[in-house]
Amino acid sequence: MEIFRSYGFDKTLFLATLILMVIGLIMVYSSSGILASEKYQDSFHFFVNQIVVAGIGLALIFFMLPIRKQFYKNFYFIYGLLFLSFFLLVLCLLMPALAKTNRWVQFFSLRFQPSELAKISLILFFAHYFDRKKEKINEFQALLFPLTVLLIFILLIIKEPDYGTALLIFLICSIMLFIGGVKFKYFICLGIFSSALFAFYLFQASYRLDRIIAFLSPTKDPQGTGFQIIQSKLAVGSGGLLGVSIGESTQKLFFLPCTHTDYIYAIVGEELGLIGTLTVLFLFLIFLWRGLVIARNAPNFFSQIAAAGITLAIFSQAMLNISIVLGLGPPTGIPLPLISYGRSSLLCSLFGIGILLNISQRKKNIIRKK
Amino acid sequence: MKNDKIYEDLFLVQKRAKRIFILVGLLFIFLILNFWKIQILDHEKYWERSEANRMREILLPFQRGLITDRNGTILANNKSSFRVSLIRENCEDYEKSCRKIARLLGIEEEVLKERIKKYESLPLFKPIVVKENLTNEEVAMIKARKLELPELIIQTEPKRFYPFGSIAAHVIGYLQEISPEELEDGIHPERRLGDLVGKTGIEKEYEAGLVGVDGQLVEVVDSLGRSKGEIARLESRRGRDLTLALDFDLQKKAEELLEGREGAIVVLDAKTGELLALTSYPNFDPNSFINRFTSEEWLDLVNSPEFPLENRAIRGLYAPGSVFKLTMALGALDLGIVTDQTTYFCGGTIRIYGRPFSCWLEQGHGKVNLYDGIRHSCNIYIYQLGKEMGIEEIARYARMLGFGEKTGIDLPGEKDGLMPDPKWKREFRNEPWHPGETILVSIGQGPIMVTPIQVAAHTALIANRGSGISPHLYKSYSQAGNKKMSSPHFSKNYTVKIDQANFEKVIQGMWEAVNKEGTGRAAKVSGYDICGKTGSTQTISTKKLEEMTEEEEEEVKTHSWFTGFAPREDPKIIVTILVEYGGMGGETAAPLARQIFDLYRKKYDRQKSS
Repeated sequence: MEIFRSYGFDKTLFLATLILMVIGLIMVYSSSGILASEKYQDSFHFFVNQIVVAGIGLALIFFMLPIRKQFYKNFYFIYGLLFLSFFLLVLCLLMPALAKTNRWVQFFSLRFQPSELAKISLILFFAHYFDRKKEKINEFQALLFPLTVLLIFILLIIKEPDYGTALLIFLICSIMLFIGGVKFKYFICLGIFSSALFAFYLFQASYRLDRIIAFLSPTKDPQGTGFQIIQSKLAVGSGGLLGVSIGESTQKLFFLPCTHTDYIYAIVGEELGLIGTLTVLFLFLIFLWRGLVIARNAPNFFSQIAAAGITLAIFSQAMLNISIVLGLGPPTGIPLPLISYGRSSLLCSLFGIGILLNISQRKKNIIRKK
Repeated sequence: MKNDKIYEDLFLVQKRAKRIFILVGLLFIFLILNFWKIQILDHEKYWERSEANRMREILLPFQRGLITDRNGTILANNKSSFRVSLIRENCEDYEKSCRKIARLLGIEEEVLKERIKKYESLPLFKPIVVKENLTNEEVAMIKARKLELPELIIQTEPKRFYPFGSIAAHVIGYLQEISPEELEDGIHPERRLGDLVGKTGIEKEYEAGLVGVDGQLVEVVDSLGRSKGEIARLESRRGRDLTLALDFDLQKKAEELLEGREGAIVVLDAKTGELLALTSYPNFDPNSFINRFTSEEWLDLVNSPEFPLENRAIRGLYAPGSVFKLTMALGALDLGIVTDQTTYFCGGTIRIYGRPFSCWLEQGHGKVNLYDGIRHSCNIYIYQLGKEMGIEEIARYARMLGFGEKTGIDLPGEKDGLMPDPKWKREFRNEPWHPGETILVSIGQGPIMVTPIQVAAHTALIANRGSGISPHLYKSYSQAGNKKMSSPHFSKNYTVKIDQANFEKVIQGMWEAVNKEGTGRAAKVSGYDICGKTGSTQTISTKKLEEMTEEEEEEVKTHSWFTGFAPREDPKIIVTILVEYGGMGGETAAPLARQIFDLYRKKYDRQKSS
């Protein structure tokens, strides 16, 4: 029933991933060099860190590719991963705060952001759960369990606090529910419930509200939180068609914060121009297209929703980040997958892509040939 | 049937995936249109703005928190000063401008270049401080050459200032530029190359609370560097103000008393362990260090044979001498070796283990009981106790009473001291313990080492009849300030397991030493119940002393100790004094203590004693 073609994985998707990563590495160096030399007296600091993780991630993918057994479908693997994420998230809150937040766990000098792992483990968990309960998917009792798990994770991440990632995880899981076949009426209930919850948290910390206000009218307060939005658009706009060429950005000279993480795309816009921004955009579109094709051709229900989930998670995170850079969404501080500096994010994205590529080697020829 | 089900499932996923794809398509078109608008249609507008936006960021340095004494006297504050910095990016010809600037500022060109070299790793547009504390004339001179030397900018910064100069200098410490090692260590995570940080004393210990957060001013400048208005301004945030337990009057008095000598004075609140005064002499003026350049004055101080930078109160290691007799008496009473009525005969010398040991009074003290032993500081009496107790017990009581380990005072660099025992000797000198050494240690001589702060804490333990305190300088942080700062925690009072009655007996001896013509009589303040103990410690070994002629022996002066407390019942104040080479404790240290007790009584304890 299932054909496994070793190394017959989706080359287009892999190529798109590679190109995005290379663009990312170049841009990380270009946008972080000055900060790194000031902070660490070494302009390659961030670049080297990123390239090491990229190497580890690729090695992980090639390790996962020839595995014939669908280990990521295994009950113990999925629940183990889920529990590990949960454990690390709790550990986060117990660790001493870094930059006033508890987003990282630190072992010696290695730092890890468990919310990245939480994303991928939740996708696998949802896929696995729906696969088992697909007949009863529209029954409230059946939905209660995954929704509770989701709620616990989101609350833990909000507590860190990392509002952006919490929102993203909520979005990804909603997409999972949608492709899993949950009826629209449940989405309405979920929508009302979660908006109430988010509104509550929004008003708990004044900076979150400030960001929303800044997003709605950035010119009103150009010196405060509106600053980022204006500077980001200024960076993108001054790039023009061809950009000011690599390394020439003026915005990254501390006018725009987080240029190698959350706002890296603005520097892409400034240094590489419209050509650069659209190239990245189309690469993500290719990623989405191939990802959904893999999902369509996947041999079983689990593989289908897992593949679709991973693809959509990476893609929607990219879209969210790009919208923020363009001033179309409130600044929430999430990285651009595969491109932004962030070791946990890159490693977890590549892990997800590894699973995606493993799925792409599996075909269900009987049905397709009919 | 089963197959049908699968068909249906797959169909559902495909249908929903298709919907998502359509949604994404629309989003995509929207995004592309947006990029088109911003990057192509509005490009001109943004480009111009970005070009005009040659922004310049100016650091708004924070103000360090004030340091005050317990009554609000300001011991450390900030005053604004001018400094001039060089922006390398703006230099037309680096060599030429270095020459010009060196001449203008009156610094040597080599010094200037070396200075700049230190900051090579900074980006070119970052200003490097080349001279600080400019006079008004210098500021005017530099401003007048603005067109000629666009690479120089003048900035103001709050500069640390200690209004009373050297008073409490050892407590407060001073600031200096952060060293590359400290930067690497990451103890000051938010500080950068060129910042000033606390190097010693309170400035170092409470650095985290005293520092604020730098602000930033971003302004638009045109191609000539003229400001076109502010874009963003982030005000700096001030550090927390810190109130110390010190009492300025007592501190000042203590420094005056030590003038011209080398030594230390520690004044403690007997109940809380708060330090009312802590001095070390000679001292220094911390104001002269707060700059980014190594001054000759600094080198002079570092290399001075009198070590004015050393805080003798917490880092000076001295033999305790007769002060140690208190420990011996408590130990012997607790072990039941003696009672307060046990007497020994002091004839001036005694042979123990076949070796003669002498009392400081050549003709001897005659029949001596415990009270006399402490009052007259009779060596012969204590030798007997030492012989009976043995070194292990002596070491156990000494450690129990606070010797041989840090008191935990909130100042960096406190020393442990040393309570020797056979184990230590085997480990560090690889020699067996001689019984004769026990006799020497029992009168506080030999390898035993203590710091004045340990002696003060030890005295507090006796004054409180067995309940100890942790000496500390911290009193409170100001409430204002954005940072959350938790107060440091000082271990609660602890008690030692020695019978209260034994403390009373030793205290009786200490009272007699001051009030009944004992060795500490010079500390007596009439109408104030002071208890105390003097000490005079040999500064060279007995062996050497024996080789000397009598005249030479006279020349060798001993370190002079006094430690005591008052009033006898309900003790309030502990005073510990050490004067290096001060001679007999009763002659030098005790009269100084009298003046401290006197001042304290006048200021705080008047109603009780009158």
